[in-house]
Amino acid sequence: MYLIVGGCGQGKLSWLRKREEIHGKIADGAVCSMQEAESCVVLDHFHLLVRRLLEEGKPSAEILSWTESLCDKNPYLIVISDEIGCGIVPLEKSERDWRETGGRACCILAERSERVDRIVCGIGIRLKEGGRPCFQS
Amino acid sequence: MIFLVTGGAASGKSEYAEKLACRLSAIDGGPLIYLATMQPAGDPETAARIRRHQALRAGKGFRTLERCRDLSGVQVPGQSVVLLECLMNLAANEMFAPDSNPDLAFERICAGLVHLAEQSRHLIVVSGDLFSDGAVYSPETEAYRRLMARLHTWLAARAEIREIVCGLVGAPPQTP
Repeated sequence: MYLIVGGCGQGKLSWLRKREEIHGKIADGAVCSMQEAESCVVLDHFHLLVRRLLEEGKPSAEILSWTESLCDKNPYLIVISDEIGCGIVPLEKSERDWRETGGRACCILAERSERVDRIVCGIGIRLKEGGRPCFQS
Repeated sequence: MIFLVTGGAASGKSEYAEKLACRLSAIDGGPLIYLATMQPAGDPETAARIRRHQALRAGKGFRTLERCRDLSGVQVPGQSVVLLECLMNLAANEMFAPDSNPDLAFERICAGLVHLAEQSRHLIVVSGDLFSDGAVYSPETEAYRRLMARLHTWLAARAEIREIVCGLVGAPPQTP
């Protein structure tokens, strides 16, 4: 697993394309099914998939356990997700649930990933490599 | 030493801060104090949030103190490792409480943090990144966000900063 995170429009997919040749399907979390996510090479817009699953009425816990199973079923998957938690707590409960579930799901993906990169203004910062955190403290 | 642990919502800040507190306490000795600033509001979501945090730190040896404002009145044992969770709630409580003067919130919070840091061996302040969602808020909320930004800047000049991203520690900030 390889996780790429960052704010919206930071150039996450372009950054990946510049560094890796992608042979296979890039699924879009805005429209793809869970089955497609389990079989694609790159899953883009993971945060939008989480949002759709919540909108379909799936409980947060179920989405998180599916995220775990995604790591087992598609262990070489590259996941790209927006960071969605860096603002004032939303008034809408559904928006709060999205931040919470999206954030926890990304923690699971990061935990299970060999490599994690964060993209800021098109520049990548490696947070995890070879299964080990880059910045120890 | 003071630590500022920040990051987005549900990014693993609390888990990280607890591990850090336990590690510091194991190295330097000193009791573990968890200073909870959330006002128990009685709604199920707040209750669930508090329960989640209680479960997370259960069995780790923390003594819990509850104080939703006015940290200058808090006494902790000498050489404690204090985990303050969290600055966002503290600032909201100081700013929006009916009997408080929002203009004095910054000074009051800083004085409280200094008071705590002076008594303890280590002070770990958990906060959050509220600054990057590209939304426009009411003047009250913007004032709150400004207050939080000022507090972060003030703390960053005095603290080790740990930005948590998806449960991982982010790149350390560059000093000029």
